[in-house]
Amino acid sequence: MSATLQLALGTLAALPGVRAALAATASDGLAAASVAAVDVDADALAAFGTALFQRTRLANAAAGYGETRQLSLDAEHGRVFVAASGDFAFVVLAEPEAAAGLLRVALLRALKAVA
Amino acid sequence: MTQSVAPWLNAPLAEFVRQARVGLAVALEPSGRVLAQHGFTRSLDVMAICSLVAAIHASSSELGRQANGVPFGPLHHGGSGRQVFLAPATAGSGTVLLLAVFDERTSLGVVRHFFSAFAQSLAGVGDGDIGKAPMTGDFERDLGRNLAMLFGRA
Repeated sequence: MSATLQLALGTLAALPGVRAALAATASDGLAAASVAAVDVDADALAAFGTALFQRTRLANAAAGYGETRQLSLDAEHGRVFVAASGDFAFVVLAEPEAAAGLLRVALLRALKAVA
Repeated sequence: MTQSVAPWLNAPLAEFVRQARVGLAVALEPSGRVLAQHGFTRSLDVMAICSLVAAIHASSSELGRQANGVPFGPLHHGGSGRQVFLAPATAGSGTVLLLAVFDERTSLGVVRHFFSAFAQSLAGVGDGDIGKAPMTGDFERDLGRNLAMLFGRA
């Protein structure tokens, strides 16, 4: 893992409420590196997080909304954030009470630093 | 539509196809004998693919033994439009090979995830269940019979 990617993942994972932060290939949905709680299936998170993002990207493009930058999903027991640039994606899994705004900003910063 | 000559494969394969959103899928024995398929309309295609898959699996397994001491695991080939995923799963005391062909509607990560679920569901299959699809010992006859059953000519 490169130092920049390691730093970006470490920064994301250290944010309050974050349970997993991982880097993945956006098209294949394969995890490249991750920092995750032991009960988090990083491979599944990478697969489904990027699959959701790709679907959203296609839907937004079809609707004429242009390029998708970030996806956030709020569920009863947690939140998922995905941001991608080209074929590189960050996926973050967080507790429901995690600060969404802070996470979004951190995610975009991390993506900018790595991409 | 999922078609099978092995009843114990019906539900796991149909579930895999539905969840992983693959277009084509074939389950076969390492010998090349087809057990179940989804998405194919011609028996000749299935027969050719089973032969190729059996050969690829045999080659990559032996290559793995030579290079790594143990057979290689799942294999993935990415094409410009379609991709192929091939992996072995244990069923009873035997092995079932699963070949899946998919496109941009899904991803390798998703296919791998649901293959794990498919393999887990086969782990509960006993040799007694597998025996419901008997082999006569004549490979060509078995293959021909299974293809005929899959494509409604039996």
